[in-house]
Amino acid sequence: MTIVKLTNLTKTYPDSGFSVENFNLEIPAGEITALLGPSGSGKSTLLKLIAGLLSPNSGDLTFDDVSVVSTPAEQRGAVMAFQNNLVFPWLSVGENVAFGLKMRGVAKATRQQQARDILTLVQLDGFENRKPSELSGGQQQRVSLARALVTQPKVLLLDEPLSNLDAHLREEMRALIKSLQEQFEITTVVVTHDQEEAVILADQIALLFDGKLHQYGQPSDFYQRPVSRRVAEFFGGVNFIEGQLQDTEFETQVGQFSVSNLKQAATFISIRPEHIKLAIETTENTLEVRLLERTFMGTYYRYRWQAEQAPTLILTSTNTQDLSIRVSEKALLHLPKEQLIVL
Amino acid sequence: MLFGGGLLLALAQSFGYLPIIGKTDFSLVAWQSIFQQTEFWQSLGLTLWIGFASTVLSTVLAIVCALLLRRQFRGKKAVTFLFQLNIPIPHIVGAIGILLLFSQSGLLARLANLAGMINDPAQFPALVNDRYAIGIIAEYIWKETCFIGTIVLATLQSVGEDYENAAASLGATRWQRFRYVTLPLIMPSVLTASILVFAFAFGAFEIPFLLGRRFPSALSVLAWRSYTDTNLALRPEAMAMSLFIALVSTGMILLYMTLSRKLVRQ
Repeated sequence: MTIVKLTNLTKTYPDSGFSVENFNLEIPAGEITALLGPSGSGKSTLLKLIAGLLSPNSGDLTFDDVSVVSTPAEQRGAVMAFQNNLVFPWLSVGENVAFGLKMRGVAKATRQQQARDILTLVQLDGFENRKPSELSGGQQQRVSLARALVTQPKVLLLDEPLSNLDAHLREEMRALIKSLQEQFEITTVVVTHDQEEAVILADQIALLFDGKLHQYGQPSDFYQRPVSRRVAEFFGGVNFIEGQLQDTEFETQVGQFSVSNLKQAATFISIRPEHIKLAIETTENTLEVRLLERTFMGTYYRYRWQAEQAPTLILTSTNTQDLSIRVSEKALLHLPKEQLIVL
Repeated sequence: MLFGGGLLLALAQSFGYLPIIGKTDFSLVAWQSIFQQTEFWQSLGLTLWIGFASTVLSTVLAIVCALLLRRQFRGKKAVTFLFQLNIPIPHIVGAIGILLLFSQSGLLARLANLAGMINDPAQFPALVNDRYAIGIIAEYIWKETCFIGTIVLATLQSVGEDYENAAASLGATRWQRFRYVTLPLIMPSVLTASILVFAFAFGAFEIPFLLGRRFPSALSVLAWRSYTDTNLALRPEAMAMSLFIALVSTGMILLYMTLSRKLVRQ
């Protein structure tokens, strides 16, 4: 199991002006770390830097404290499975899987056996003589994964492994990646723009915006303790109330709210839609609102509320039950103190 | 219809059917005659040499050039433009250029003489109208390298470097990436382009006529000489030779395709 450490890693693209600057991150051994962020945040650049497919302008990259910056990709032991599979179309499935072993000079019989074994693990036993064109997108993705795993890499790099799959296959592939990673205990880095995918797959998430690390932590941290409004928004946060902290209360245009965590420079409080409850009477952290919209989302209901005291303030709540309130009817919402996030 | 008609007429004439001189019977005399001529076999050997040498050398050079031109470097646009400049220039211009430069009365011979490297321009190595058809092959390489290279470059640019990156990540060295990834990727376009070049080099007439020796000459020149001979009785032989060129050309193309595909799959 390998610890990957990025120290002040910088990569600049002179043509576009985009850069990843002084990036620091320690990727723990034998776990899955997701590099999450919107398009152009630098996550794929980081993955290619780790793979050795790009060279940094400065900084260091170590595998188990040994610098690999000047080690070429083919000797680095960091194998990448690409977003669009990149299964070699002129080779059979078996030859594709055995490709890395062939490059290492492994004898034909041995590499064929190893390819068969790993194909069984990815539930493609008996597919070795087929051409990639005869496989579905999901099967090709599994071939790509098998091709990477068979070489027993120090680090497994997955670039948007689920983005080309439909919902059902995503679920299957996600479970497969998770189980194989647990079985092989390979340090794995997954690049994704999908926060749900990152939360389900990863043990840790590194959230990137504009080539910079904004937050690093366990998936639950991003819901419970986002470090900024941008992070909260990226993780589905939609309710933000502007104000400022006065002693232990957060003063807003719709009243004072008791908060459990105090952050002096805070300018917003936020609450996730699922944490907003209906209140029967005015107590601490309640807010008078009027229902603007009610939408059935399949497995839950989504409500959009307008604050009575400040019509520009719109809050969204979700509930698994129908609240039986008609549009434009008044209601009282409770924003529990322990669920309020101060940003 | 025009092509089919011409082919049928050539076929009929090769079997001795030439009513203009009163021959209306079909026979294998012309075919037997050409196969018995030493000059024919020597011409065939020379033509095969010209076809293969030109094709292989142009293809190898074209792949190298395309790989270099794919990279990012200062002045890439200008270099690519210069590389592709040959495409619209006719072969005949290239042949004249080769004559002016490389013949024993050409510019290089005179420069070598002036520089004291040789005592007389005639001492300059025979590169034109020579035994090994160097002038002919050089002209084909000059013209066809940019043709094949342009096609290969377009293919390389369209497939990008992702497959090579995937191979590098799986442990393939630079050479292995070229051998096992780049080559199979470009092989369809390399095959198509080089087959065209081979077919052209094997059957073309004007360059061997201008830059080749009189004996042995390329098959096309030999066929042309028979065809234009005042003795019309030689015309069936000319037709037999022309058809033989077409047959060998087709056979060689099939063999070349089979061998190349096999090589790539290994």
